[in-house]
Amino acid sequence: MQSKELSEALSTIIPPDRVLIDDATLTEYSSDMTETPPARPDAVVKAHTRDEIVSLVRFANENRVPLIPAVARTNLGGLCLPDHGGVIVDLTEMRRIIEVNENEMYALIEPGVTFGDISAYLKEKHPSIRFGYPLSPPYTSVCANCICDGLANLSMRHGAMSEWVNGMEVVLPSGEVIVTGAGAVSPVWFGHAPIPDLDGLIFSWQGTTGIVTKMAVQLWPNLPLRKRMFLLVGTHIDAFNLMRRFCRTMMFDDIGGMTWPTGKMLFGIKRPAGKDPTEPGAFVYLDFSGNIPEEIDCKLKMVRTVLARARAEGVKSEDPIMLEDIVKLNERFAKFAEFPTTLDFLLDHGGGGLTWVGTYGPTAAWDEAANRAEQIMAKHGFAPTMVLRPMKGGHFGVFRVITIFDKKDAAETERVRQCNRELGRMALDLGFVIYKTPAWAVEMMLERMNPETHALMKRIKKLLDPNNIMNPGKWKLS
Amino acid sequence: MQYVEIVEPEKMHLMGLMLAHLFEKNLSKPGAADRLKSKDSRIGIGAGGMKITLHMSDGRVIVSKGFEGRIAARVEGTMDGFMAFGVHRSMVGPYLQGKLKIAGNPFALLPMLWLTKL
Ligand SMILES: Cc1cc2nc3c(=O)[nH]c(=O)nc-3n(C[C@H](O)[C@H](O)[C@H](O)COP(=O)(O)OP(=O)(O)OC[C@H]3O[C@@H](n4cnc5c(N)ncnc54)[C@H](O)[C@@H]3O)c2cc1C
Repeated sequence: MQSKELSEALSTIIPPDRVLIDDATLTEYSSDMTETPPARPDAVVKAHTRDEIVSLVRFANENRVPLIPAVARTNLGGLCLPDHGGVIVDLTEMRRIIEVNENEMYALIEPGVTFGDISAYLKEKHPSIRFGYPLSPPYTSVCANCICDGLANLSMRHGAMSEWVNGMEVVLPSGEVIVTGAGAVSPVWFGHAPIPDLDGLIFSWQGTTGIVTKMAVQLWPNLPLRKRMFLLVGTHIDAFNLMRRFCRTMMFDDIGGMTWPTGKMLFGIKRPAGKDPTEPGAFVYLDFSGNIPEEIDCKLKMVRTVLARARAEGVKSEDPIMLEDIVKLNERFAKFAEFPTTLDFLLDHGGGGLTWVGTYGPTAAWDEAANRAEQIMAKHGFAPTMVLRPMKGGHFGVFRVITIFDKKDAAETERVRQCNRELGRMALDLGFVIYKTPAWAVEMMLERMNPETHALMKRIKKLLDPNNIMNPGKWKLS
Repeated sequence: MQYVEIVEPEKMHLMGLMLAHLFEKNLSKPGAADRLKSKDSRIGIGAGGMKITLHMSDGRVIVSKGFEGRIAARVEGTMDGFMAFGVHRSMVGPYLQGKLKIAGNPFALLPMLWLTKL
């Protein structure tokens, strides 16, 4: 369909002022922060209602027009880039928080609701409950993060964000509207059991199976006392050892480990040149909360006990430094105190490029993965910036390797591509699985994926989306 | 940074970066830099195994890696010992706990009391 014809047709579904085909808009939506090559949409529409989306999907089916759901487009996997052209369905203006149920502790939200929105809303209207927040900027979508199986600062307790979802309203590629979870039967969206779990038709499918128009996400009690502390640890191996130990105490809200470049970036060094042999290889942060001071004191005592035991076995770590002291030293660390946050050192480094190989996998393989990642990054001339977090009480962990780069520098962008591919292959070899899976990583994963699994995924896709209109190209489903 | 210069910042270790930020913050307070106007002295600081030399000269501070040049005094200890020192502005507590060790002319360390204030 020609651009003008398409925009006229779309304008019969969505008011013309929300159908965008101007060059500036299409250019803006053609690329993201990553090394993924640009891909230009034919139009962008700003949806406001479920019914608009239903009509849009029907139109797209009749005319074989690809639809790409998107909110802030910060997934870092090129997942909102229209590989086959088509219409970006921008959901940023579907931003209502429909209900907060304090008793059952969930919020029913629209897909454009951001982490910033939900944080402000709960603070003002329901201060006794809280949500969890990723390190992604406050303007990013809660719903998109859950769909992508993302992680947040309570994932150590509660797992990947898809596990926080009680149910969804979804416009299927056919235009049918389904509700998943208890909300399909009950007016209270209290959980996803006990009916067959259809949420799995959406999570990690990267917008290829439908457009979520409502989501119920779990909330938790907001305990009055909170602490965050940092440990400077000799090597990343020692840091992972400590993280696994802390994890087993079942005391913490969040545990994270970051390798040495991250600390330097926080102090304004955009591209750390190398590790000084005397400096810590990593730092670990620990978050915990409590109802009364005695509970906090007890947890502090436990931190010291774990540390003493680890040191006795040769782990090298400084004593904990409390966040409030570090913030006095450098206000930029306050970013680690308040969520959601903007990690400007990753976003405002001048080059505009940010990418990662983000994985979930066995924490037992962290040491080997980090050692190998260090070598791969060095080979390609990047500082080994890694973030690791145990998930769901330590049942698995995050292993993520981050690179900032200059998008205008074609040679550097190509080096990033090669580097990510090597990192991805190495991580897969060690049993990790790449999340928010970019196209190049899908290819690598399919080499290893149980073929019957991929065949079933294709059958499901065909059943739900016979004309392959939803975010085509992702997951190689057609 | 206006008052603090880090020698080869890309290669500076974490402790050097942390302290450089702290010095800058404290030197930016009204009149603070004047207190270093007539000084020309070097102090060595070691924390958590990392070392820097603090060269105070003409209202400015130059931070370099390791112990360099004629150092008037040295203070070494753990990172949290330094934090405690910065918070309480007394070396006595951390010193008695064995978290800080001092060598050389202790009077040369006096600017540390306000330069490292948290
Ligand atoms: C500095 C930085 C730090 C980050 N830290 C984290 C982190 O700690 N944890 C983490 O998990 N992520 C992190 N991210 C990644 C990303 O920002 C988050 O996952 C974010 O929540 C994604 O939201 P978004 O609005 O950008 O989604 P988008 O990129 O717009 O969408 C993501 C995917 O979901 C699909 N989609 C979106 N909405 C719908 C819908 N309604 N229906 C169907 N499909 C839909 C899209 O097609 C796409 O495939 C970080 C990113 C940056 C830049």
